[in-house]
Amino acid sequence: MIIRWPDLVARSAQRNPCAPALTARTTTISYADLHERTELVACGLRDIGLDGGERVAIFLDKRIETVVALLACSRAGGVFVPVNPVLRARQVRHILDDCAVRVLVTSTDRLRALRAELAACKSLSHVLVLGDSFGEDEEAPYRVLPWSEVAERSSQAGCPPTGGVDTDVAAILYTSGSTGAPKGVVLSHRNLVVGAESVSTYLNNMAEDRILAVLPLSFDAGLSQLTTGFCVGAHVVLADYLLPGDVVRLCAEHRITGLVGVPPLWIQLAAQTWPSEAVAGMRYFANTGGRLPRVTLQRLRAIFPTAAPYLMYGLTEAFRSTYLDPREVDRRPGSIGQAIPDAEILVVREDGGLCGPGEPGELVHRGPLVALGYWNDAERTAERFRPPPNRPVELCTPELAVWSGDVVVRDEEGFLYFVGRRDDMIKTSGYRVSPQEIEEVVYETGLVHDAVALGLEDEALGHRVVLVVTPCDPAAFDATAVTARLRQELPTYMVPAEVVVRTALPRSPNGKFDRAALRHELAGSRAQELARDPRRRRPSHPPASVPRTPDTDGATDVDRRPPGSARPMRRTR
Amino acid sequence: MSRSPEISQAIFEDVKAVVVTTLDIEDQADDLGPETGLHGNLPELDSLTVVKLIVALQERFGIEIEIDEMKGDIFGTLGRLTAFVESKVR
Repeated sequence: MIIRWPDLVARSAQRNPCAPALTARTTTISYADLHERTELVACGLRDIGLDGGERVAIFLDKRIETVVALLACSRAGGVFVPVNPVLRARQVRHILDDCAVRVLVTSTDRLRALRAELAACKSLSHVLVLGDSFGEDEEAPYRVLPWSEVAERSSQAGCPPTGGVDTDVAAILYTSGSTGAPKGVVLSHRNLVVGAESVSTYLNNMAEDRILAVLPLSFDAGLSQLTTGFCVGAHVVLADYLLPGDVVRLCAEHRITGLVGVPPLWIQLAAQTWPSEAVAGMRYFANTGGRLPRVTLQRLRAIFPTAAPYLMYGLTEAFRSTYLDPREVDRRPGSIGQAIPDAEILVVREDGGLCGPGEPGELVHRGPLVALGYWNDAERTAERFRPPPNRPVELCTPELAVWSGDVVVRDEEGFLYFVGRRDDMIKTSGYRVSPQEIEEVVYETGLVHDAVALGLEDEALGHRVVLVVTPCDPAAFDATAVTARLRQELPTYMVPAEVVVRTALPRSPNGKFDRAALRHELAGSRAQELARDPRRRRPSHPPASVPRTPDTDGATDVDRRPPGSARPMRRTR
Repeated sequence: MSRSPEISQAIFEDVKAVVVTTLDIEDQADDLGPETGLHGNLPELDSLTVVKLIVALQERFGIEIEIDEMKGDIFGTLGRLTAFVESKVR
C-alpha cells in the first residue's frame, strides 16, 4: 500500500528495478539505485539526529542528489522544504527561520553566499554540502558536513520504518511573491500521493514516458513532475534551463514524451525552431500557472502535431485542481476544464451560494488534495481554508476546502473558465475586466512577446488600464499600432490608457509574470511623477471619516487610495 | 568538474567585472574564480538575467552573440564563459 510518497519509488523499484528513474546532465540512475540511495541517506539523516517532523531545506539546482534529499527526508520521517534555487540569501534565510529548519542541504558555492545570513539562524544544526571542497567555519553555530558522509557512511543498511499515516506532514512549499513575505503551504503525504495518482491518470502517464522536468521543484507543478513520473515508473529528466534553446535540445537528446510549462516559457518555446527529433516522441504538452495565449497554443499545436495539449489549473494550496481533456481543446480553447480525479470544484457566489452556469464566482476546491494550511500562520490559513458551502449539516466534524481567490465561470456543460485572480481583476468605469481578456487580444497582434494588463488606481475610473509589453521588434515598435488594433477588437473601457514598453517583464521565482511587482513598480513611478509636478497632484489623503491604516501598510499605498475607499488593495500571492 | 580551457587573465577580469555588475553581486566578487559555477550555482543567474548578461557582454567586448551559439555549458563556469568571449574577440 502506498502511504508515503517515497513508497512510489519503492514500488517502481520492485516492479522494474533496472528501469531508468532519473537523469541529471550526463548521469542516469535506475529505480533500484534511486531507492537504495534514498534508504542510505535516510539512515544518514537519522544518524545526525533528525527527528520525525523536523524540517530539512534543500537549496540546490536540479541534481540527482536534490531528488534523493527530498525522498530521503520523507523516508526518515522529516519534512522537506524545497527552496527555489533562484532565491537570494535573505529570502532563503526567511524560509529557514519561518519553519525553523534543522538541516540544510546545499552546495559549496551556495553556502559561501549564504554564510552571513545563516550565522543567526538558530534552528539550524547541520548543513550538508555538495561540492569539491568546503571550509569548516569555526564560528558557525551549525556543523558543516560533506553530503558524502551522510550519503555513504550510514550505520545501517536499511532505514527503519517510520510508521505514521498518510495525513502526516510531508513538505512545506513556499509560495512566491515579491510583495509580502512568502508563506509556507503545508502538504501531507496524502496530498502528494493522491496528486501523483490523479495527475498521472489524466495525463495517461506510463512507464515508457520520458518527462522533462523544467519547472522548479519548489513549485507544486514542479514537484508533480517527479511524483507523477515515479508513480508510474517513468523516466524523469531533470533540467535547469537558461535559454529556451536548452529545452529544445534536451527534448531532442532524450526523446522527451511529456513537457509541462508555464505561459512565459511556452511563449519562448513557441518562438523556437524545433527539429523533428525533438518533436517526434512528444506525447503531450501541458500548461499550468496562468492562461496560455490562444496564439501560443496554436503555434505549439503546429509544432507538436501529434501531442495532446493539456490546459491545467492548480494552486499550491490544493496541489492541482483542474485540467481540460485534450479532445475538448478545439471546442473550448479558453477553458481550464473540469476537476481532476479525486477533486471537487465548486463555483461560489460572494454570499456563499453556488453559482449557476454563466455566473462568475470564486473557485473552491474540496477533497484529499486540500493542503494542511499555511505553516504557523493561523490568520491567513483561516482566510483561505474554510468549510465548503455544500457540507451536509448532519455531519458534525469540520471539513476544510480551499477558497482560491480566483474568479471562474462554469458553462452549461460543466467546463470552467478562468476569469482572473480576484486581486488582479481590473475595475474600470464600473466594469470588472479580466486582464487575460485584454492580453489575449494584445498577443494576437503579433507585435509583442509578453504582455501584462494591470489596473492602476485612478480617481475617475476606479482603475485605469495600463498595458506593459516587451516588443518583438523593439526598434520598429509602435505602441499606437497596438492600441489601434485593441480599439477595433475591444470595448473602449478595456482599451489601455497607457502602454509601457520594457525589455523584460518581472517574473516570480516559479516563472510566472509577477503582476504584483509590476503594479507596485508602476504605481511607485506614478507617485514620483505626481510629486515632481504638484499641479497634477490629487487630493492625497482620504477624508477624515476614513481611518488611515496603521504603519504596517506602505505609506504610498495609503496616499494613493482614492477618497472614500477604505479597503486596502489586496496583493496577489 | 572539468578544467577550464586556457584563458587570458585580462579578459577573465573583464568578464568577471561584467558578470558582477550585471548580476549585482559585488559582495561576492572576491570569491569568484575561473572554476566558480555560474548556471545552477549562482541564484542570480536565471533565464531573465542571462539575457541582460549577454547584452552586457556584447556591449563591453563589441561582439555579436547569436542566441543559437549559446549552447551547452558556456555558462557552466566563469572560466568557460571567458573562453567563449575570448573566442569571439579574436
